[in-house]
Amino acid sequence: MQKNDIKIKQVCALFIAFLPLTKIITAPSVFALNCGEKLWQPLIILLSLDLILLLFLIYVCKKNGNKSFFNVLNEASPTLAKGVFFIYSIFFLLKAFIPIIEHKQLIEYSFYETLPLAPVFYPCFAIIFYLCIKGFKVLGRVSEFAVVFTLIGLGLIFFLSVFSTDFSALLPLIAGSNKSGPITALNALWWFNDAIYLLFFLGRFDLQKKSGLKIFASYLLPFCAVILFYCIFYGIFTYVSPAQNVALSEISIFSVSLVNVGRFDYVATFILCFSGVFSIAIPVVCSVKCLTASLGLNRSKIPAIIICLLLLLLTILFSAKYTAVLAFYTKYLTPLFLICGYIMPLLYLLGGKKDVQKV
Amino acid sequence: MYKRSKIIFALFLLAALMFFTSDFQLIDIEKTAIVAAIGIDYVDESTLEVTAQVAVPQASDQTATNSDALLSAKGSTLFAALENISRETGWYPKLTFCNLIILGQSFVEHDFMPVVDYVLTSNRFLNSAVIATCEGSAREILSSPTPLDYVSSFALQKVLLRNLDRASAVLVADVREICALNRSRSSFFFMPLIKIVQAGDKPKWQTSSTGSYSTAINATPIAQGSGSGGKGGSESGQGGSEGSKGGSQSSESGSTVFDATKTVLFTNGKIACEFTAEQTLCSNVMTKRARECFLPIVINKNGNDVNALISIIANDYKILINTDKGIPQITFSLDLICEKEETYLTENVKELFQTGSVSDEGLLALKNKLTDEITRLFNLSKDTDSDFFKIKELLYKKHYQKYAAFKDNILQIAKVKVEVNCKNRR
Repeated sequence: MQKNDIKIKQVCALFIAFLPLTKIITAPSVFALNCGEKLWQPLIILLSLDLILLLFLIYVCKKNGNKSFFNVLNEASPTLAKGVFFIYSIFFLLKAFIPIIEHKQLIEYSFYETLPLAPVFYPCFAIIFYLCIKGFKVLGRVSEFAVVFTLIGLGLIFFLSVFSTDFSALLPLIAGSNKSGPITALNALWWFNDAIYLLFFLGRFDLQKKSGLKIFASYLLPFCAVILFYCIFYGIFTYVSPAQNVALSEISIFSVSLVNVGRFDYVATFILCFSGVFSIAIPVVCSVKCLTASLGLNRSKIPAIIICLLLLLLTILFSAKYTAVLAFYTKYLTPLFLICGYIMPLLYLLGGKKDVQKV
Repeated sequence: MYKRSKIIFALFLLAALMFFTSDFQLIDIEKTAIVAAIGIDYVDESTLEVTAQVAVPQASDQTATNSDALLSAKGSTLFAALENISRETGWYPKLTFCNLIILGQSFVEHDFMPVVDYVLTSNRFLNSAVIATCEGSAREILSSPTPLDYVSSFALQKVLLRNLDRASAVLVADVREICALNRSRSSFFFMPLIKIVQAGDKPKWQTSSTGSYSTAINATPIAQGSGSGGKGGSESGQGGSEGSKGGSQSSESGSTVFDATKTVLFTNGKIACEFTAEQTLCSNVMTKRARECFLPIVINKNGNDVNALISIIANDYKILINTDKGIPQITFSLDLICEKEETYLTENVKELFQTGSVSDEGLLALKNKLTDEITRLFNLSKDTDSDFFKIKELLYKKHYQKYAAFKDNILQIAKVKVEVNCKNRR
């Protein structure tokens, strides 16, 4: 691992550009199904958890002298470091899988009249593989221009949809029979918990003055955009929200302008799909980096081939069985995501000295 | 290194080509039928008849009058019927531009919501497609020639969709709205009722020597189970006989225009009541943002009744429920900013100077008219148990604690108060 291969502004851009995109495709309908008009409640829980994790990482990072997570664990025990990174490799592999099949669904649903050939989505894996080899440095650079695409795309989607929204559909805010907010939050960790990426960026960028504040703000703002998206989604579809499997391409079609001008909302979907390719690559890159570190390798080529082929195989086998995949994640993987996402980062506390080592 | 970059760039372009095109699965445009509207009619318990109005892409050297066609087929479900159209004609029906779905009278008298639910969940249809019902059969509506447009469904879309944000004469609902309202606590929905109205004058192109639209309509083939729907209007095949018959009927009855000012209300998926044109207008003013909404009133001036037309520039509507005193009280509050559009009265110069200003008598007449109409609408809602003002939904949202107590009888026991305030624009 190398130090200073990503800049603080790139970390911020990465959160702004890619954080919302994995959460606004199928997750809104799942939240609406479980929580009805209170779909914003699990989002607040998840936001709070992520912000606590973010603050913890920034605070401990400053205390540890900006050491990387691997260095901290390696100092404590090399075996522990390899073991933890292997677990994280599996964690990120699983975290990447749902967004990948979601994006496949989005493209097939939005852009194709008939069901396209299966391999149409697979070139994405070539791009992901390339990013895995190049690592965080390229991902950071990509995020600097992808942020523009995401902001334009989301801005257009919001503009087209907000006037068709009945925000009173979210009432009653607190009262009501639906109390499944915490359970839904637990069963949606694979879409959220993006603050965990910061754990693997630590030690790779220089902590400057107000770095913490910048990261905090760049995490909070896109998350607020996600909450707004969910509220608009429910305000438009209300009782039939759970039937809208691909929220992103459905939310903006009720604008009066589209009736008169035509479906220019496709432009926004195209733009967001472009950024989406890179957003689904982040957990894959993290998975490859963790596997590389746990195997003690210097180059990421072999782990990248293994991870990408594994994901490709999983996509070929299970992308058509999205509901079954989601049921499997809900039934078996929630504890793994909870432990890896919010408990194992506490291991970063093991590092106490303010020295920087290179591995 | 440079060579490798070129290869990577070429691979990237190839990937992009696969990713952002329809992976070369484009359907031959000559075989594509762009469906502008569909009509659904009930045949019997296990059969639906679907009529699709298609805009067939034509070569530029052919006349535009051939570019419309009606295709019809029967099936046990909506898509089975559409698939039969595809099978029988060889055209692939493209439904992503289908903005209008007309449900025939016989169809809405039966359990039709499963079909609407299918439209909602299907990827082939737009959730923003407007749904309307009609007097008679949907097929009859779609096959009626009209002076408004070359294709009757385009004319209908003008009536229903034009200035969607402004026109208040039609109470429009789309697929999503109907399905959501049906599942709401109020469990009702509405759709415009389309009627064929005989136009006084013949369409221009019927009298014109160059236009041949009426001929094209008369010859429009309806491919009913024969597979010979053919292309365009002039080539009438075997299956065209029935369509020709329908066309000639329309022709005999003269050119037609459409009226969609009446509204049909449904409760629990069944017809509950019908709004008149005036009730539709008032309900639009009371439940939606109104701009350029025109209300006719009668002003009593010096003992004489004078007809006038008031334009509503802006509206602010609220429905409040008060449950504090045991019996719920519903307050309909409506604030309007008005402008005089026209009066059938010669006025003196001073009054002409104040262009657009509504007199006090006019404001009072408008207030009384709307108060009466809203009270009448609520009583209709109460009598037919169609919760048009979404009172039960409102009770759940804003008075959740009282929802269980009043959800079944709030329309019957509530006291109603209507507050209408009309103001001049300036």
